[in-house]
Amino acid sequence: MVSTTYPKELLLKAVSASEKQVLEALPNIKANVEGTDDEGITVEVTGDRPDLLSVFGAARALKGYLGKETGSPACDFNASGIKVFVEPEAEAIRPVLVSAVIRNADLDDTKIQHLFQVQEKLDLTNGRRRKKGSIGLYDLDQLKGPFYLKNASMDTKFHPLKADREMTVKQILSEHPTGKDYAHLVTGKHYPMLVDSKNRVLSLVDIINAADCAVTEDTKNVFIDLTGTDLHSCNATLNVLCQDFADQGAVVETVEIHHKTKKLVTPDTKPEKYVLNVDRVNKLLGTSLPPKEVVQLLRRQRLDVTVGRETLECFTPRYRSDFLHEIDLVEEVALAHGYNQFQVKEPSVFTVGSKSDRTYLVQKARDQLASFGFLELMTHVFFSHAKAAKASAEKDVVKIKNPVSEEYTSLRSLLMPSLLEVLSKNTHQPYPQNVFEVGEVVVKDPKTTTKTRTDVNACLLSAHADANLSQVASLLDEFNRRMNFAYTLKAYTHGRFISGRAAEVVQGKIPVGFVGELHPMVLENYGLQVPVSAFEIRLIKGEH
Amino acid sequence: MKEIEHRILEALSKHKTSVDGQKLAQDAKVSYDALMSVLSALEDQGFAYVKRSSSKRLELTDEGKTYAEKGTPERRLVDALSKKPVAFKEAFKSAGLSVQEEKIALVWAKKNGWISMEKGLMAKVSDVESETEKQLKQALEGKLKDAGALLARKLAEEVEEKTVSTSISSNGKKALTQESVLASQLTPEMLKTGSWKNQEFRSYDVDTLVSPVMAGKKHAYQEFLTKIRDKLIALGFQEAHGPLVELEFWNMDALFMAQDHPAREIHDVFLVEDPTKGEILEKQVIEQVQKAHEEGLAGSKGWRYTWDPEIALRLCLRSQTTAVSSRTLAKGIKPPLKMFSIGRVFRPDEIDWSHFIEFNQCEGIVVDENMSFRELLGYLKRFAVEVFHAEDVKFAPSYFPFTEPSVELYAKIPKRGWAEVGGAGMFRPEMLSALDVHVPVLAWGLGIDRLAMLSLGITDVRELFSSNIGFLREAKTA
Repeated sequence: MVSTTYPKELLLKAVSASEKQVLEALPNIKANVEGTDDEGITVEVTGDRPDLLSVFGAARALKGYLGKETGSPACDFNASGIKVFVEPEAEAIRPVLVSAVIRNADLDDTKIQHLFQVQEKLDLTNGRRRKKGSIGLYDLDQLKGPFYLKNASMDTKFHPLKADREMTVKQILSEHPTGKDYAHLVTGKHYPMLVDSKNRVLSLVDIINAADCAVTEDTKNVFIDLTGTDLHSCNATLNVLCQDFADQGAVVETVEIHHKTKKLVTPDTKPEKYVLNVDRVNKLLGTSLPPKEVVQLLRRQRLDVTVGRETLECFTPRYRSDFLHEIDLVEEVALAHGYNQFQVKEPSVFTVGSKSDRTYLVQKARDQLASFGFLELMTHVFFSHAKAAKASAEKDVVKIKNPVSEEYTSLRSLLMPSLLEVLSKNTHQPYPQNVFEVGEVVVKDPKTTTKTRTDVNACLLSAHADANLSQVASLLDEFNRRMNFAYTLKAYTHGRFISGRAAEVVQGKIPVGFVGELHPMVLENYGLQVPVSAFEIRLIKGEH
Repeated sequence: MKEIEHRILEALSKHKTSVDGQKLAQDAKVSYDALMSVLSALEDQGFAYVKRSSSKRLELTDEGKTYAEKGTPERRLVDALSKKPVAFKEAFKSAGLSVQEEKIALVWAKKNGWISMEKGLMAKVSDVESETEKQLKQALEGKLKDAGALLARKLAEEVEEKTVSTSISSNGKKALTQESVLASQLTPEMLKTGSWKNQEFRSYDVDTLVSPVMAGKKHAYQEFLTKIRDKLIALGFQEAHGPLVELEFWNMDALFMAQDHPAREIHDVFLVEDPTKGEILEKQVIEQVQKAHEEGLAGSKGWRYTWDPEIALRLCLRSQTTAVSSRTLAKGIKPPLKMFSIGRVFRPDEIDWSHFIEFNQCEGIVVDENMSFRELLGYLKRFAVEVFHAEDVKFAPSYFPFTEPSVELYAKIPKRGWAEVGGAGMFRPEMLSALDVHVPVLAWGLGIDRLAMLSLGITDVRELFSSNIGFLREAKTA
């Protein structure tokens, strides 16, 4: 989801509808209204619809949805005669360049601000933070074609945006804020730049544009380029921008892109064709819409449709880059129909429901421990391994590469440290404090496909003046009896327990847990001033 | 005389000299509050002498305690500095200060004349012990007298301590003797000998009958999850589980999420540092998933890029329970099938009242030849009504890389209003085909923490996993 703000006056005028109508319709075209004030309507646009990032794209979709304008908008663009030559050395770094020319752009302050907002959001979404492609906008009247994409030397000088002087490429990359942010996009010794026939620099591509050919309110004719690594993404973005200008009444013209071995004419506006089977639409939606209605619905989504004998031929406009499969057209039908206009169908297929064996065991264990008079806790699987050391817990735990907080750096392999943390925060509460948790822990295991195992453990802690090994061992025995776990106890020495006051729990020959009186050192680490005895055993061994 | 009065008076009679209220409450097994009100009554009747006094004492606040232990932020800052000027950011970093502490450290280090600042750089000038530090030291040694500096910084506060000391009067003793003809408890002895026939019993005061019980109790949130589980089972769903550490393959690639999808970036999914890579045994599935991404399957264009198997092998923390669905479907299934899974998922996020980096999700799928979008809406509505007693539902279009059409469910919950319940859709043909499933699959994933908050009347998501035993003992059950 990407948030964007539509200038309100512009939107209402473009759609020629009331504010109420527009606000009601927006969620149905995938623009979820976040808020509105005198100036603007802020929406969250779903990730598949970058065309809705601009107010003109939203207006286009709304006019279709409200039935004011249907079918694809016109996009027959004439040739501008302008050429761009991509030199092979530059192509090796940025293989894709697409471009267009806009004539008679009618820009004012609101439109310019909005255009820059759209540019930024498209770079972020479609362009994946300029990795796949980034947009350049220039005042064509300050420049003279043809244009060249070629590699800059580090001491090439020009005056970049957001700076008060000329800078060399080297200075831009190391000193200019935008330069520093995006320098990583081009790796290697060379940085491609776009220049005009008089060798004036338009931009250090993907990084920053020159100040003297920037688009302003006075700009009449705009030169657009996208450079990047992904032709689909660049062409989609270019089409979004061009269609926005076309919808405002400007004239869009194509540009010839000359590579050493190929020639392109962009923007490529040829619609993509999908064949849609109406029966299939109805089966998937659970409807019985006649073909005629399906056609109308698709046209309201701004698609062109021709009716064949048994199928529909659908043409998707190129400013929409989210079509991959026939199913995407089925959603278009559903959108135009209106999700809330469907009569919902009650579940129709009979199946037998069942609880997993695992849940059965977990619930049974929780029932037993609660019946012993213990309070159930629910703590996080996330844990801090620094904290786990307080209970001499296992050191070889699953650690996170990108933690967001020092409190949550790894996954717990035992429940006990989490429960001791809880006791340490409750020393002011009355004792006895008898608590338990049945929960997931994660341990390393080279034999599984995830190289780890998600087990379920049960842990019980008894904190009061008379807490001792015999008491919890008796509870463990009763617990195991009720759970039908055969087990034996084996003498056990571990730093976390008082010597001679702990035992290992063994099932068959496999150790599955422990029971004991916590060592005063551990209690001190947690600031506890009452004895604590505890058991923890594995209930379920994970798979995968 | 009331039972409780008798109990307290009797406990009091065991003390030859006057006794402290706290001790007496313990002896008589009553709460301190109850003792106070009963003592007044006993005093009025002339059965007990009560002496009340109060005293004021200085005590460190939590902040004060931290500083006494770790040193004040300004001390930690100046200790990390030298005469050589360094950038603010660097100084704060080497002092290990939190953002909040940075400001405190700066203000007080300057006030103490410890540092000089110029052009974003700072250096150490002096580090003489401040008044605050002297007083913190005294407080630690228990010799705090003048705490002006600490009080001014709210590092210490005055605590008023009320004490009560009490003793029994001769009238009280007399009353106790007279009262002793009344029994306070029916005993086995009375039953054996039949003496109960001539015995009168002391009456209880119904206002002071109840005291807190620390019985066993299940966690309200676990019980809420049990309730959801039971509803889904009643609706014909079978339960499944998956691992918390998951391969990106099952968490994303098998869900037709392109490898450059924004939700796969480092700020949206937790990666595992060690071990880093898992393995995929289903070779056929890998091939098909690769094909789905690169050139498309089942009539799709695909995402058209070079799919990297190494990325798919990376281990991450499960970021969506849909991973359980992809694993289930890949195992080979026989329709009709309804499956659900409730489990923890992990996503990097800011931690605040409404977000935590670990939360519960509830996933469900329905696999059958005749499934349709209209039936998906039916399931969603049924679910909202059965589980959350929704008064009404509405649907909004949505987008997920693995479903088409996609929908967002909103439910009107009694007394709470409209709430976003979760996302749903029909799994995309590219995803299903790669997993060798050739019938429609309805799917939904609900973030249940928020719904549990609504249901349990909790306003901070962190309280769902509360570590406050007092709160848990009192919390209402689901």
